Amino acid sequence: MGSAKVPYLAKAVWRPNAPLTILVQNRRQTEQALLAVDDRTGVTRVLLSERDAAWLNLAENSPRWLADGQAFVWMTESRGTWQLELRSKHGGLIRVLTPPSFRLFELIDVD
Amino acid sequence: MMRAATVAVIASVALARPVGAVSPPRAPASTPAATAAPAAVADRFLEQYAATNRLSLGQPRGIQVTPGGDAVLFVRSGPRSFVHDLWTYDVATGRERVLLTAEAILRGAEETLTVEERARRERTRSASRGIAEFRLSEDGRRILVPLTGRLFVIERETGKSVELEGERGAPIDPQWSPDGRHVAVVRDGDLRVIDVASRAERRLTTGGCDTVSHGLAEFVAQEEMGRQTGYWWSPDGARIAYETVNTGGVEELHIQDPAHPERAPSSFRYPRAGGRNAEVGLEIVDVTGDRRRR
Repeated sequence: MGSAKVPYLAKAVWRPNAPLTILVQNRRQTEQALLAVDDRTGVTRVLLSERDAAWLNLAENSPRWLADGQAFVWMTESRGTWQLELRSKHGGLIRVLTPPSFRLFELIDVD
Repeated sequence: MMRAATVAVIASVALARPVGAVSPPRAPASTPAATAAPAAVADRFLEQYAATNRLSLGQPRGIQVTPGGDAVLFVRSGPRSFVHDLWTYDVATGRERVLLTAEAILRGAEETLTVEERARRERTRSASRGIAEFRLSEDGRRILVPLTGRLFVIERETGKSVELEGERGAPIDPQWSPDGRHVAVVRDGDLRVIDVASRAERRLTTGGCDTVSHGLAEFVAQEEMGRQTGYWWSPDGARIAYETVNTGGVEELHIQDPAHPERAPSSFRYPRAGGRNAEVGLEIVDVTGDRRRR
């Protein structure tokens, strides 16, 4: 990860049955990428990326991998208000979990 | 705007009342209530606001539910004390009690202290503010407590405590391995693991210095991203991913304390907005000490 291009390591999570997962941002915090890290080789693959003309806010407890590692919950403001998404282990959107009217504030936990 | 501010202050005082003893109103009885009340309220408010650390003392913090769901652990001080104790709330009975105090842990440990340790402890005792934080092991049976620059492991059932003596240097951000066999910690800018059974400490990184750290969150992450940790255990407890930080290129600011002109200024690497940031990387190391770079 070239530090000049992606200077910010916003967060990292390492859960059972899931890869080491990191969120990196550019200096202006207008672009971010969620990366899965192969902890043997250091090779990363992009799970998802987001951009915003103004800036991207960070959400606590997101991403949150499910226990079996087959999917993760992602909290996003990409549609203008906070929403939870269920994403496959490869990053693809499975479905949106909360409507915009939900007024989601914070993801506490996933059982 | 003034009206709104006054309302907010009165609301805070109402919340503050149960926190501690309220001193009697200072206004003479003959003063009309309408004019005396705001002054008296303001008087009490400022006193209480200061004495309760902005109305925060006495609140439970660091709340953690045990994996079995039988208890809820948290730290809390008295309403006007800065010394925090570790409390446990029994879910079945609804009762709460003090599980541990810093005094009890240190007294228990004192019996095995060397002369040097005893002297060191006396020198640092004044800085003790009780149990500021704790880490529950994944099985919920043991509690890791950093206390006055030392690490203690306490059995939750019996309260029996053991010190992880380790090496010198303040232990920063101690964390259990998921399997409970190790405790990782950062000392002097380098990541280490302590084997809990043997208490042997192994250094996993080298090169930590004033401008280089391994396993700590850099300033921007702590202040602006809400991330206080700089390393992550693998789920099997065999490896640790850790952040590398080099602040060598970050502007150095020298802060003088105006209340202490006799003291030399303190120097900080401070990333002013638009200025150079710390260089940050991520590496992975086996607990046995083999490193991979990325």
